[in-house]
Order: sequence, then structure tokens, then C-alpha cells
Amino acid sequence: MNSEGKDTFSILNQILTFLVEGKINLALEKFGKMEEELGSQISNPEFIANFREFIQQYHEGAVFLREIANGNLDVSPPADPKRHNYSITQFKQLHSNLLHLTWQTQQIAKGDLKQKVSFLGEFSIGFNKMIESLREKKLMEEQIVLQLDELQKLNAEKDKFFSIIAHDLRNPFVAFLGFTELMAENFDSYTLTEIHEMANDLKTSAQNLHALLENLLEWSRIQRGMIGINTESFLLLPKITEILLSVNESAEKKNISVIIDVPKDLSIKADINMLASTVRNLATNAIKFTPQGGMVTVAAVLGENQSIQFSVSDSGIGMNKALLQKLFRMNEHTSRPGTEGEPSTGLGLLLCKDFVEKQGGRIWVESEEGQGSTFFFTIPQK
Amino acid sequence: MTTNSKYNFKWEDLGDIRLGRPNLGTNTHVAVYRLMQYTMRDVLEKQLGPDKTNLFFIDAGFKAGVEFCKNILDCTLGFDDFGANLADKLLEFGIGVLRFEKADLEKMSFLLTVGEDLDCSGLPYSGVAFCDYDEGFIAGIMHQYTNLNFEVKEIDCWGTGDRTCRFAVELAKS
Repeated sequence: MNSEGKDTFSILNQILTFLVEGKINLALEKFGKMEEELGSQISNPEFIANFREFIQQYHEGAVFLREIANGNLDVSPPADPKRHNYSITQFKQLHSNLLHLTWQTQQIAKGDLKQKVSFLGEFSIGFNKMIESLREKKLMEEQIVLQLDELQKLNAEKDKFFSIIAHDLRNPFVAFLGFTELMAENFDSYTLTEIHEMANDLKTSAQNLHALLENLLEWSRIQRGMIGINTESFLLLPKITEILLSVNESAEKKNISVIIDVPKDLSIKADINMLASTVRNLATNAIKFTPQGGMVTVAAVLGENQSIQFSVSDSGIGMNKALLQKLFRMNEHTSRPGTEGEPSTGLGLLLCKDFVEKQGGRIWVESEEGQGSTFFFTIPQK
Repeated sequence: MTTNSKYNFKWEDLGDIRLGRPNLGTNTHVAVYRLMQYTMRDVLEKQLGPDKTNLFFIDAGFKAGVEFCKNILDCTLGFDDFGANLADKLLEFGIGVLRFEKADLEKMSFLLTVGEDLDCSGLPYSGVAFCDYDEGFIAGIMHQYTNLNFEVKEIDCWGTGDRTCRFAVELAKS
């Protein structure tokens, strides 16, 4: 620089002053004029070339920072044709960090709360704390949603319980009370045959009430988590035969044949009470929805994956698709009277589902309206 | 590993490294990896010329990317999780620090950087981008994940004076 003349030094000083004052355009203009005016006097062209590149990079750097400050990340960092300017590299790094940070915020907005920012010191700490806080909030929200689901389920169970108390239990009681009132008030005017018929009706009504109360009690105990599984191994055929004794009377009344199709040597490991309740409920339903003279078959086979597969099929009235979709669901009204007006609540199927699933099995149904129904369930043998 | 000319790379050809190197383990010095890559480049360039050599590295990288994706990455993930999975694995294998700068899933266009890149970080300025193998590697991963073809171009590299490798990933035009 010392080799340049005083004029050159003075002009360069003016250019630097413009740069310091932020008047880049004036600096560029002055530099252009200087080259024109002093072209022949410049003895060190490399110095001038470096100075020109410095101004150019300073200018591009200033433009870049202005755009970044205005939030425009589509701007390019200053060019560095000689690729040795450490400052330019830092501009690129800043640009890269800001682009990546923008991408990270977009990811966070999409719900990816695993992102972590690793530059800009205190900003990173604050930003990462904010994400952590969002993550905790999201977890809490998820827990609230789960609890809300649980509450809705409990509420549906409560509604079902009150619905059964209010309707299904009340109606048979009304009939029961009606019979007893008639007998108490007019006993002397009835013949022995009429009293016998009334006593039979009372018995049927009492049996239905008893069955309903039993189911209600069991269901209530399940909901309160009071029923544990107590598995044991036993031969299936004698147990099924014993369980079905309790439905014989209702089957005989409708002249329905109950067939048991279980291999003699088939044994099972299961909770006897749960299995008995499931088979009894399914067989009771099958008889309920089968007209006079029909047939109900209770079968069991060794199915896939060492599971015992049960089926309870009937030649009854079957179900349409709409009703099929509502079965086994707490919040759906599925009760309908049997073919001879037998009461039904839908509670028995909910019990069956709970008992089967508690033992690791599954339950499903195949049915067509007017073509009978078959309920299947499995009990895995671990 | 077979020795006939119809050799087709399989992941199993990498062998059971833990079994074979109970003391030395799975890691080696980066210089050894680069020694192999750059001496191979030297020999190939002398025999094939620079253009063919570049294509050779891109093709080899592509094959490596496909196999890496098949055997190491979880292709069942959505793109965002796949990106995170890829970044984790590149870090775990010491390949580099992957960061996304832009991702346009509609256009399948991406801008990403790989810091501390295995191939080139720390190389002196030469005016040339070195990471042809990485270009192919990224294209291979993206192809395996999307079943689409990509063109990957390294736009910044230690070889060109930058401190981070930057790759533009676009759908192939044809």
C-alpha cells in the first residue's frame, strides 16, 4: 500500500469511510471512478483486486445480513470465488443454521417434539425447554384423553346399569306383583287349575328375575375388578352337560332339542365359573330366540393354535346386519324379547365377552335374519 | 464371498464383524477409509479418466445406499420419522451429522447438509467437490425408500472451501 500514491490512499480512505458509514453504493461508485481516474498510477494491481473483492464481499455480506434480519432466508450468502475467506464460511454456516432451524420449527409444528436445537447458546436452551414443555403438555393431553375415554366407558356402564334396573328388572317385578295381588285378593274365586297355572307363571317370572339378578351381580363384580381368573384342567363333556341342565326346562317348554357335540376326551384348562356363565348365557339366548320345535347345538373342538373353539348355534330367528353390529357393545341398545316374549337385556352377551376376553379368547357371531345364529368363542390353552 | 466375475454384493458379505474382531471391534480410523477411497480413485482415474471414475463412485455409492436402507433403516416410517431414523443411523455409523435445511414432499425436493462428513471433512481446498460416493449413497437411500429415482448434487464441500457438505436432492428428470 505504501507504494501507492497519496491520491490513491486518500480515495481508499474515502471508500473505507463510506463503508464504515454504511454507504455501500457510494463506496462502490467511488471505487469504480478511482480505477478509471488512477488506472495508470496504480502500481500494485493485486492490492487493488483484493480491495475490490473485499468491497464486493462486504457489500454482499451487508445485503445478506439485511435480508436475514428481515426474515428472508431465500437470500444467498456472499460469493467467495477464491474460497479462502473464513468470514464467508461463517455466513454460510449462519445461513445453514437458520435454514435448519426453520425446518425444525416446521417439524415441531407437525408434532415432532423430538427436535433439539444446538446453536445460539441461550436461545437453544430456551427453545429446547419450550419443546420439552410442549412434550409434557402433549403427554398430559394424551393422558386426559385416555381418562376421558375411561370416564365415558364408566358412564356408559352406569347408564346400562340404571337402564336394566329401571326397565328390565322393573317389568318382570310388575308382572310378579300383579300375579301375587290377584292371588291374594281373589284366591277363593280361582279353581285349583287356575291357581296351578298362576303358580307356574310366578315360578317362570321368578326364574327370569333370578337369572337377571345373577348376571347383574356378576357383571357388577367384573366392573369393580372383583373377579379374578382361577383356571383348572377338566374334561369338557361332563361339565357342558352339567351346565346345560339349567336350561333344560326352558328348552322343554318350547320343545327345543339341545344337542351337545363335544368329543369325550377333550379336556380344557379354563375358569369353570366363567366358562359356565358363558355357555349358560349363550344357550339361554339360543333357546330364547328359537321358536317351538327348533334345535340348539353346543359344540367344542380343538381349534387353531391349541385353542378350544366353542360354538352355540340355533335354528332361530337370526339377526339382521344392523343388530349384529351393535352386539357386545355397552353403549348400544340390543335387547329384544324372545320368540315367546321372554325378557332379554343384552347384558348376558356383555358378560360372555368379558369372561372370554379375560381368559385371552375372543367371541364373535355369524347370523342371518330368519336363518338362525351361531356364536363362537375361543379359550386359548397356554 | 465369491471370486467369479458375476459377483453381486449382498449385505451378508460384510460378515460378522463382531465375531471376527472381538478385540478391535467395528470401528477403524477414518484415515484408513479415506486411504482406500482415494488410492482407489487415483488408480481408477489413471485407468478410466475422471468422468468415468466419478460415475463409478456414484454407482457404488448408490448400491451402498440401497443396501444400507434395506438393512439398517426402517422404510415403514413416514418421511419425518424416516429422516430422524436416517440422521440417527448416520451418526451411529460415524458417517456424518445429517441436517435438513429444506424438504418439499410434494416436489420431492430436499436440501440437506452432512457435517463432519466421513469422505471429505478436513480435506484441503482443491476447488473440486469430492463426495461423488455420498451423492450416490443418498440417491440410493432415497430410491429404496420411495421407489423413485433421484438426482443428488453436492453443492458445497470441504474440497470447494466450505465447512459442511450440502446436497441438493431432486427427482430425476427422466
